[in-house]
Amino acid sequence: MRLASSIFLLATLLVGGRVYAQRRPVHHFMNHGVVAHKLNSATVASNAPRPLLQAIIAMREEYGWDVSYEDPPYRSSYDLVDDTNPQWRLAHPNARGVTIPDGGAFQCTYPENPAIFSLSGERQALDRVVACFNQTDGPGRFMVRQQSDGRFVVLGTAVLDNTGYLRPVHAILDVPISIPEATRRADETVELILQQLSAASKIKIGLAQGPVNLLAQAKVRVGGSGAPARILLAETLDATGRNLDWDLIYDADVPTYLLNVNLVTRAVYGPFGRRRLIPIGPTPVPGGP
Amino acid sequence: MNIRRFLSLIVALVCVVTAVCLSPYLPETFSSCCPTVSNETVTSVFRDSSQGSMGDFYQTVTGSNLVAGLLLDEFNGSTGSDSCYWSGSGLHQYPNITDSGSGGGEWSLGSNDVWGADVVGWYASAIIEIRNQGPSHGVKFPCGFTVYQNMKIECNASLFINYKMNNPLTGTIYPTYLVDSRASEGGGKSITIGY
Repeated sequence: MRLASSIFLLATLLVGGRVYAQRRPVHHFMNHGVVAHKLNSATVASNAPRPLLQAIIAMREEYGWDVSYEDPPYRSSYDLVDDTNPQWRLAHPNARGVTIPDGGAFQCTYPENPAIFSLSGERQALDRVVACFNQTDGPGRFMVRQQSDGRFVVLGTAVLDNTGYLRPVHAILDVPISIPEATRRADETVELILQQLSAASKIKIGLAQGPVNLLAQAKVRVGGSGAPARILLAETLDATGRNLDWDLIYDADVPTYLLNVNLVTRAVYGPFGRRRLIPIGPTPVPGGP
Repeated sequence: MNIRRFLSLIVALVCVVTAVCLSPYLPETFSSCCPTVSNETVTSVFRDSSQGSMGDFYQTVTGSNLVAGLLLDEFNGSTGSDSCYWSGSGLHQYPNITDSGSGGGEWSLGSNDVWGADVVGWYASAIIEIRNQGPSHGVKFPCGFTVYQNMKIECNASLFINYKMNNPLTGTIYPTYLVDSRASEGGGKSITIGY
């Protein structure tokens, strides 16, 4: 009897342990990244499925930088973690689950001095943070690229494949596309660029979020043949007359890319530490340029 | 300089200085030199011609010193919310006037004191992503965003007067349709879009 009880107890513990191991991890993600200032240096801390993106957002808002971010196409369980809602799973026991990038806590210290507001200082800080991230086991590998107009984009360069090996990937916005030159609404132009990019790359990509009224009001004249989609996108956003950057997010389950367009902002702090974001850049011309 | 011209300059100076210093705190009824908006009513709403998931909202304002061509501008109010959000979605958990629903807009007051279109709603790709992927991440329908819009109206080239704070704009996603809305103290409106 005692032996039977012990076996039952052991089995219960084993089964219980297995059940526990299969549960989704409890995430304690941060809502925003944080930049802490020290003497001649600063530390950015984040905790998110895409820790580098959250860190980059915190930095660009802290300094008013115009920096874009582009996910690599995550593809394996080495970079992705199950995020299927337990209640949904109970109702759909045989359906395919969903994933999110397997991120978590990240922090990095970089040099901070008045030069950080110059392009070279910005480059130095971004390079440092991206290098920090690439040394972690966080999802994806990244690089900093300076665009022809001087602005920076942090883009994914490699992902882990199903065997755990690092595989280089191409940035989807490097794909050349053609759109006829014409005057259109800015949102229509962005969507046309993304439609052409989807057709050329065979991957769905769409405009998800942005400054709706600005993109609806601004009339832009953009076109090109065989130009990288990123160039046409940057020209379109520049033509609105406002400083805009973008985040390109990859959902591996669909798969699809979602584009978020952002007004470049800088954080300002009130007397009680209340944080507000102030748009940076030229004052818009009524009715668009 | 005659006395009348001197007095008019003093009055103008006092008016501008007072407006500059107190504009964030003033009720709509303030000011003899700047336009004031005492009431705003959403008078019409249409489906946007390009973004079929969004509504174009047109407002009529009443007040004083309102003339066609005055600029109206929106800016961010209180932090918004997004019940369609899940961690890792890439959507914004706390949308604001500059990144979701509405944002970055500036309008000229038209004839009959009407301004617009204030475009409110979700982009199509976000709707597809939320409807297809949201439920398995735990999102329940209806879900939507609320952003809080502050409005100001032009007094002169360097001065805008706030006339509305934290006006809620919403975009709600149902399984087979959308509801976009814009509130207003004089009466808001919503538009239901089969989408």
